[in-house]
Amino acid sequence: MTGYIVSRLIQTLVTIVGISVVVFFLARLSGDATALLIPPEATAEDREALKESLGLDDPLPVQYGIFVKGIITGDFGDSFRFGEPALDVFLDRFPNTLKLAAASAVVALLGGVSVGVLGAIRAGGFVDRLTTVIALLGQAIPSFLIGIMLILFFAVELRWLPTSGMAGPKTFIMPAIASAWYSMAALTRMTRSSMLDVMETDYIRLARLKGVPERAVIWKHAFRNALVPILSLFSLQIIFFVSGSVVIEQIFAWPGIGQLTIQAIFSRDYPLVQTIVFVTSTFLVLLNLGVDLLYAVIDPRIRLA
Amino acid sequence: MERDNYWTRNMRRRIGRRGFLQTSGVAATGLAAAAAFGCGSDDDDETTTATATGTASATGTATGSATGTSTASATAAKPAGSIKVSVATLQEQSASPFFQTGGLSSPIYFHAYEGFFGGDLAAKSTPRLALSMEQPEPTTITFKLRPGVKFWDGTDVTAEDIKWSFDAYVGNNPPAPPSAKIKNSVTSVDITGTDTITIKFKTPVVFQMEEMGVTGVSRGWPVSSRAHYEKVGAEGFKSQPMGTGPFAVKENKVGQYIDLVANELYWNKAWVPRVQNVRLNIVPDQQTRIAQIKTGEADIIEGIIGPAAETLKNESSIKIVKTDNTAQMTVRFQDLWDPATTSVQKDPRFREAMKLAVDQESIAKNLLKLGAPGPDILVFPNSTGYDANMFKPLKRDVAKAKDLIKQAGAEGQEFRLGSYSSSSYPMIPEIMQAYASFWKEIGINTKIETKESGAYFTDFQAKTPRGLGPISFPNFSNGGILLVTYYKKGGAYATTDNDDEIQALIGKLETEIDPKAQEELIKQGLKLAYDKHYFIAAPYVESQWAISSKIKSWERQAGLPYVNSLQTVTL
Repeated sequence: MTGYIVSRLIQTLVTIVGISVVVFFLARLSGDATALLIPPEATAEDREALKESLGLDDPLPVQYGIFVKGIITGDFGDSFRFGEPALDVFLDRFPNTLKLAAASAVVALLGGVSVGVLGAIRAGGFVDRLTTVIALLGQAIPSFLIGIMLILFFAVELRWLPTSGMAGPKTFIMPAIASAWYSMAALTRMTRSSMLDVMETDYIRLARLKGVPERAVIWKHAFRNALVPILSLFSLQIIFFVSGSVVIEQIFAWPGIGQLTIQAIFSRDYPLVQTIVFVTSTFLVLLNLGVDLLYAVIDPRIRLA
Repeated sequence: MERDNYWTRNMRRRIGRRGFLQTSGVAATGLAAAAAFGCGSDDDDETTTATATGTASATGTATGSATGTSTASATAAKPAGSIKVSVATLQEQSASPFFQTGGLSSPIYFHAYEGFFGGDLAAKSTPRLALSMEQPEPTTITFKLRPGVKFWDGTDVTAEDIKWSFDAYVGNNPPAPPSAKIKNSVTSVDITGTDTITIKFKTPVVFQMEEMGVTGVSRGWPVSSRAHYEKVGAEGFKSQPMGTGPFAVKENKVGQYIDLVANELYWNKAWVPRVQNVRLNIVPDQQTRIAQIKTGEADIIEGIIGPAAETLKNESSIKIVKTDNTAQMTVRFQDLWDPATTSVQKDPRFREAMKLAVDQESIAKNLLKLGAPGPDILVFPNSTGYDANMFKPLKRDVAKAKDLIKQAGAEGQEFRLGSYSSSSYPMIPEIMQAYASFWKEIGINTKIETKESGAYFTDFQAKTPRGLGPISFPNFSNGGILLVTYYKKGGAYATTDNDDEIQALIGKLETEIDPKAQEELIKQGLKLAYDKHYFIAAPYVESQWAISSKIKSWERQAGLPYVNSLQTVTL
């Protein structure tokens, strides 16, 4: 187990270093940041002075070195656009994304797993066919459409929920459902097929022959063994939730990092782009590491391999 | 020497306050936005009652107050009530007076801050913190300050505050884009009396002040309180700024909302807000904004365009209000940037054919569902030099266009057609698709290349792309600035660089100080460009807002596409 952990830690570190390189150079590919911070009529001297004040006159390796030093010291520089430390700007929004991600994950997991299990245990019946239709619809209808339909129905028609914003528990409901919609469908399909595979195995038949109650057969024996692919898929969905959905944030006026990222890219705000992408990616890499370690706990064959 | 004599002879007469006001029009509302970009939280139980403290003493009818609505002497009722306004964005949403970058953040700037001059509802430049101005010599302007103007906290605005604000504005890092222009034009800002400020410019002043907003309706440098800054510190100032505008900043939650509260001490009593609290909510999606006004979560929503506006027309409790001619867009012939080009774009017959192929009426009626055809030239109906008889929108004439294409030998040619999305002009990518199909009808093929606006403008300013490319810009009432900004050789957005006739005329304009002669030159310049077919226009567009029945009236500044003048809202 220790060897497995060490091996995964090394891989994680290499990935993080790779992210820092890619993020740094990709941010600069978006164009000259000063072009958007100074009027086109500004003199060459003013442009140079601005570059110097923003630290953009240094050679790229030097700028990269400063960036890496910033990563270590937690100083990612000031956002060009907001005039505040980039990390502060990011941290002001990231918790909002995490809150919505958590709500979306709960909706996706509870919805996807329960509907998927229901479909599997009623395989071939009406409930199963309904489950399949729901899963197909979930993957076919884009989340922005779901979002708008939810607003029109629950906010405009019924007046049960606020249209948008982040101001209390009620404001989480529609964005969480819209955000979780696709993932829920994917989890439904995965849970159903994974459960069906397990339900056909000899040890499930044996459990039933031994008279183990059906509930225990499903949740204790079948579901636990079907969990690894579900967990794999769910961890990927978490990445989707945590990286922030521009579309969902736009529709529901959610102050998360999705909108912020687009704004930072369009305004060529290198420090902010670097901070958002690097911190989020590192967070997700670490999360992935956690999930991998969890696999090893759930399924000893993984760590032995 | 001859010029000096001319200046000496004319300047004092010209720069009398009244004369100045007559000659100055709308300056560069959103110029920075045009240059750089081409251009919530819900709480129904909001019961904020915060007010700016102190005792009003300024008078709206003080000597030197401007013409128009803002001069009206009125007994203002105490501000009351709240409104919620949903805007698509406030850009970086800085509450600091010294870091407002462009037109999209102007709803904060216009309500909270002021400079020497600002626009009235007719978009005419009117004195704000300045009472009057004099120009003793061509490169010097002296402003006399309006007495009795107070900051939100009740302290007086002093000449020292104005000079300090200048330094803070041009020295801010990162800089607000317009500040570079001010920095480049100004040699010094000096306090020359208890209530006078003297600004020395690097070159004789013709358009500089308007370009940088000192006398225009938009920006200039905003004035804040040095004492307050020193009290709260640099960090505190970002969240607790200080200004003189009709609204004070109460709370700024970046990415969500900004709360403004009525400034009862505002010097112009006619513009003391009638509404006590204003919340500007950031709601990027148009459909969500529409849903908000239907549910009562918003009282005013901006950016209602296209078919979406139709869905509100049957709502009895919602009204659509418009500000006409807020933006224009024209397609440019970019091969003309190369003086040695052999492109068919050099042939005026080809350029005319491209104009004649376009059906602006159909674009306005069927695609934009707003706006009206405009002349194929960069000018607004309210701009100096505009003449409705001289500059008529062309009617579509495919047969004539085909004939001209044949004469120019341009049949079957293909051009790159640039495209981008603008904050000031809607649906440019869709309009470019439509234009491509119009041109295909006359045998001209285009390959559309869409870019993110920042990259598009960087390329355009570098004059590197070839082919055809649109540029949109917000309303401008000073035709002189239009010419200098959009036609002058080397200008970031000029495509008439290599037309010597136009350049000679702009050269004359830049030294002409007689308003009538200036207007004549502007007209001549516009006529030249119109007759030589340098621009292919898209319809003028209006900005549309939906307002709830809670709002009894709301006057807006002419031509301004952004949320403005909320102090005039009556509930």
